[in-house]
Amino acid sequence: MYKSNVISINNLSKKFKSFALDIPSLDIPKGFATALIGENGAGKSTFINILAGVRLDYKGTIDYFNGEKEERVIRENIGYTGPGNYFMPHWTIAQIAEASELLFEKFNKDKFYEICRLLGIEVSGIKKQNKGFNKLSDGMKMKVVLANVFARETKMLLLDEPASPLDPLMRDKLCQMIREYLEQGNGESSVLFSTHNIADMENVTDYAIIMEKGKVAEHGFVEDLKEKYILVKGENEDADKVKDILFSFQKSNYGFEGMCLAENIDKLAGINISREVPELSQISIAVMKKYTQLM
Amino acid sequence: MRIIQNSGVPIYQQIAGQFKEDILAGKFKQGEFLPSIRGLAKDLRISVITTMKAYEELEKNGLVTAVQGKGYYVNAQDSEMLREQHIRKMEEYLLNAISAARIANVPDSELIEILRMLIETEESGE
Amino acid sequence: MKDYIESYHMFLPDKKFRFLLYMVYPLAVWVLLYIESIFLNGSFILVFTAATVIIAVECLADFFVFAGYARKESGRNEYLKTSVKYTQLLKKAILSDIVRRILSTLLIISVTAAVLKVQLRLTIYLLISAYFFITVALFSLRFFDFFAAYNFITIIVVMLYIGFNVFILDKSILTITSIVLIILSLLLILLHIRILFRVVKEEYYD
Repeated sequence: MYKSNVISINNLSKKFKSFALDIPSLDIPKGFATALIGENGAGKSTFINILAGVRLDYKGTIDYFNGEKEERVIRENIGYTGPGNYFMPHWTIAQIAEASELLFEKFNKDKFYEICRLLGIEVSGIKKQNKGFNKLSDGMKMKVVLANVFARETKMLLLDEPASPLDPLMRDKLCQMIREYLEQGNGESSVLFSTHNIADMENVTDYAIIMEKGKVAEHGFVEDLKEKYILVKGENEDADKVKDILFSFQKSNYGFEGMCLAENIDKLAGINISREVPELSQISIAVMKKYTQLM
Repeated sequence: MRIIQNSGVPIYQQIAGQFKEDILAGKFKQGEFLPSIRGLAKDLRISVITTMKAYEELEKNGLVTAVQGKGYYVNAQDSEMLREQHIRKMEEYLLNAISAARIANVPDSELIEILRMLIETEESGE
Repeated sequence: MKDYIESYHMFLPDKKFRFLLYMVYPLAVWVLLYIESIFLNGSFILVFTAATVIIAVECLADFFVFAGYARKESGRNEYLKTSVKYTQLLKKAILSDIVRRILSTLLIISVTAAVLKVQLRLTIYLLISAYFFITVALFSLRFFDFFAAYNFITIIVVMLYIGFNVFILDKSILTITSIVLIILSLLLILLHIRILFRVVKEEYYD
């Protein structure tokens, strides 16, 4: 029943001197939170910039909102946040609010101030405060950026590394804001966020896209991935027997640990191993390692 | 609803299990809708796909029915099904009793005798 | 009208800057000229000084508004770039800037000329030539986003303005020069706007 997509990508590619983004086909499910996982430099930002329309120099096609063709509708319904020079450097919070009202039809100024207050940004001082955006700390910048994007009425959020500059308490708040956004959208609103530290966001991730060196190494619903991969542990004496069967493999003085594809688990019959359902972060690491080896 | 993150039992199973108990205990009436998937995810602070999987589990067990765009409502729990549920539960407890008996080296004949006795006391008690 | 002003204000640093630009700057020029007029009542040199100050202020103030906009820089204004209205708002801001400059120059000079009784024809000429030099300055300034470049170019342009007019003023070709300068200014503005919008477009492509 959840086979409806908010974005469908076909033959997307973008070449740089040192690496190339190359995604033959990928769908982002509608109504869910999708995590884009990958190391720094895996191409996550480039990918999100392309989806957000900040960067248009790519080859391939991207279909938004089930065949929506009008650029105005697409851009109005997408909320993007990035880590770079997002707002104009001199903008104060009041100016951000004024500018956003001009730039987007469905920006709600009151909601913006309300979220600012919830995130602990001094709003009562706004009128007095003349601090430009570039003078704020990284964490504060991200809070303002997030407050701004959640104050718009959108159907899709594209958040580039939203959690990185936030402290643990704020990350938790961010997760809850995403859940609330999904609830209010009632299956029509979707979120895509990138992260290189999935553990913080695991409890809000429905769909995972694992990227490595500009390519999609693995993707799927988290619950499906947790069935596809099984975390196995065993004694070192069996290590050589299982080594080639396992998807990923790691040995220490106390035994081995590795990820086994569920389809191969029968091949481990007769070997004394323990089985666990892996965390998404464990799957991500296994996939990234495997992919790096293949390259 | 209580969720234990690192219990070894997948979260979706914990959720499904608790709803199943509540439904069978009659806490949800026939035709009543379960909380919305995304609302429950928000309240439990877990991902949407986990709650969704829990609800699909309930659907597979025939406890609820999905309506596109509206959510999941509780099915009529007919007596036949309730009976089946309880028989399954009974079997589970009896299996527990058997394995306990094995550990304590109680012979099968004595086990059956104890069961008979227990039934008699239960009946006379009522 | 309102959205033109609002769009323009998006690019201005803050309320303090607006106050300086709209209020303090004209007042300061008037005060300066008033003091000067004690010594040089009615002389065209008054307008000449005013024009030089206007060129300098307009050039240096632009550093805080559109510095670097004629040069491609992909990582800039990501938020603005996601809006479908970005180009439209930038266009409104640039046009507002041009109109604001003409209005404030006119205001400063007309009050000066009226109060201090400077010859009208000469005043108009000095204004037009000042506007031309500002246009030339902004055209080149906006390729740079560091203050030293702004400083340097501003000084050069002010010197060019003075030199040019020292050369022109003793000849009786003010009318024809005015017309030529107006045409050149217009062409330069058009070219400038074309460059700005090509750059905005290119910033979506690396």
